[in-house]
Amino acid sequence: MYRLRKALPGYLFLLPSCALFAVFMFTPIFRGLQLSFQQWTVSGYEWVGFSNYETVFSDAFFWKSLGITGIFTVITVAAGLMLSLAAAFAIDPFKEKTQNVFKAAFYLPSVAPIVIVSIIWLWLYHPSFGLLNYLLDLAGLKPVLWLGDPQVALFSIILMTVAVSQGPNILILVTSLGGIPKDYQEAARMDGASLWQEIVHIKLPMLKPTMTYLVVVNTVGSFQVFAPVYMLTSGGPNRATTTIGFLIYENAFKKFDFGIASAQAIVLLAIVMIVAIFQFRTMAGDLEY
Amino acid sequence: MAIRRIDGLRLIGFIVLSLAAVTLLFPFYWMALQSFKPPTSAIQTPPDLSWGGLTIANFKKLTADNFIWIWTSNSLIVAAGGMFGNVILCSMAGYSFAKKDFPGKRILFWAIVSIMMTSTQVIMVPLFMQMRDMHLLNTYWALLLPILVSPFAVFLTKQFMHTIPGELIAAAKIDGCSEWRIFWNIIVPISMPVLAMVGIFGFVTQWNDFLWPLLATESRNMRTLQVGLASMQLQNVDYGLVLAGATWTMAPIAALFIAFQRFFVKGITIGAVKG
Repeated sequence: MYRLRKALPGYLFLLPSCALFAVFMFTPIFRGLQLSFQQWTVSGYEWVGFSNYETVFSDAFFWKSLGITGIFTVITVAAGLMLSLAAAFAIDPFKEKTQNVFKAAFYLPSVAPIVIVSIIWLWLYHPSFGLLNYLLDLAGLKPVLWLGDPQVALFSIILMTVAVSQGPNILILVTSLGGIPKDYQEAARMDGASLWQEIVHIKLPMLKPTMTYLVVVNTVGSFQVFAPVYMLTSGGPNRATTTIGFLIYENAFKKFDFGIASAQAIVLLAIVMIVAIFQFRTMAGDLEY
Repeated sequence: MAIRRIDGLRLIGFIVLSLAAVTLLFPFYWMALQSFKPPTSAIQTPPDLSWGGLTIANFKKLTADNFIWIWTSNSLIVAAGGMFGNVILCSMAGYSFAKKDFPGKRILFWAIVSIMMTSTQVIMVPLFMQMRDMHLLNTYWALLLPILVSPFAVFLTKQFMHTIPGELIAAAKIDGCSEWRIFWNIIVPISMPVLAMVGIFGFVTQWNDFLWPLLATESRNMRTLQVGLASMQLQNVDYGLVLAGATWTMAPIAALFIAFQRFFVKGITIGAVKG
């Protein structure tokens, strides 16, 4: 009784948020699992066992969209983090004021709503009056159907995503770099290490925990990409940009096939979790030294 | 010699960074500029970047439509909900996790934090059906209830409140302060920096959100600015009008960003970089 009384205030402070989390986040996760074993029609639902999963796995479009999502994720995460890392190393040596100006300039595009970013990039990519084709024309090159060519469209979405979403990555990496004790650098310099050696042997290893975190967070985010696809291509042309996130949306809210959409969502969740755990394991494996 | 070489590298770095920043910001500048130009200006090649012939005709047309006002007030309601919900409810949770002791604390905390890792798509379909069953679709409840709390805000406030000395709370208790007064009169004032951060993040995240408002609302007058703007873009060939809408939607975010840049930078790094 005494223990409960002592614990009570702690629970009471948690109650409102935990109730909301429980109803609007945890319940849906379990309901999603349940839905993936049901088939929904106008008259109601029936339990169908694993048949949704069988349908999903035998669907060529599902595998295609998984492949597209995989390509999207690998390229956006790898290219994005490499650019962010380069930017962070370039920003690091400057005084705080200069650093802040660059941080702000790179971060602003990431707080802009994706709908607005997409509207602007639709202009950049426009086949007849877009800026990119105008620049190609100036350079004497042929225009590109940025969003209309199945071979190119996915890369156009990747390009936009990489360009506008590096703000948080850069901020986090600059802060991590700033946190590396100056003694290490000085010691390395005294021993005659070149700038390159200093980066490879001192700074990169010290950044490893941060990089692990960023790889995982960026991967989880990239796997779910939806709004850019919705805004730029609606999954086309010829389904070349139908990512798994967009496929789930189509199945649930265009075809109202909630069971199939839920099964696909569960598969997506499983993949994301496996990848995240795998990344933590491999990248954090030798953290303790 | 060595110093000079590093200076040279720094200069190159400065030039490359500046070019990259200008390239990234240019499209936003173009958007803002074109929204003050005649509609045909946006589709000119070469791009019309002159400052001549500025006009507010696009904004007049935009604000003459009732829907822009409805969408804006919907967005304000949702963003304010995200802001106050996160600040009040999540800071209470953060306080409990940081300063209270009770059975099940660790499990609860990790359960909440792990939501950050689950994909939105998993929650979307069942949440939509749940709202449909509760007959809440197309109402403010559907837009607001799921966004009042966020795991990120709980995590941030907990991290910050850890650093508040326990003696302060103990002293207040001896003076006979109630639990709620300790929280409200002592913890909240001290935590203002983190609460401001959580509030700004909550506002911006909800102002910018697209997927859930798209799913949860059907009628045109329940749409938020983002969803309304997307439908405008998909139906409209009037580029001046669409770009004016985009500038309209971006303006509050840009203003918040310029005013509270410090908080954005801190908020992003506090969650990721171990101090």
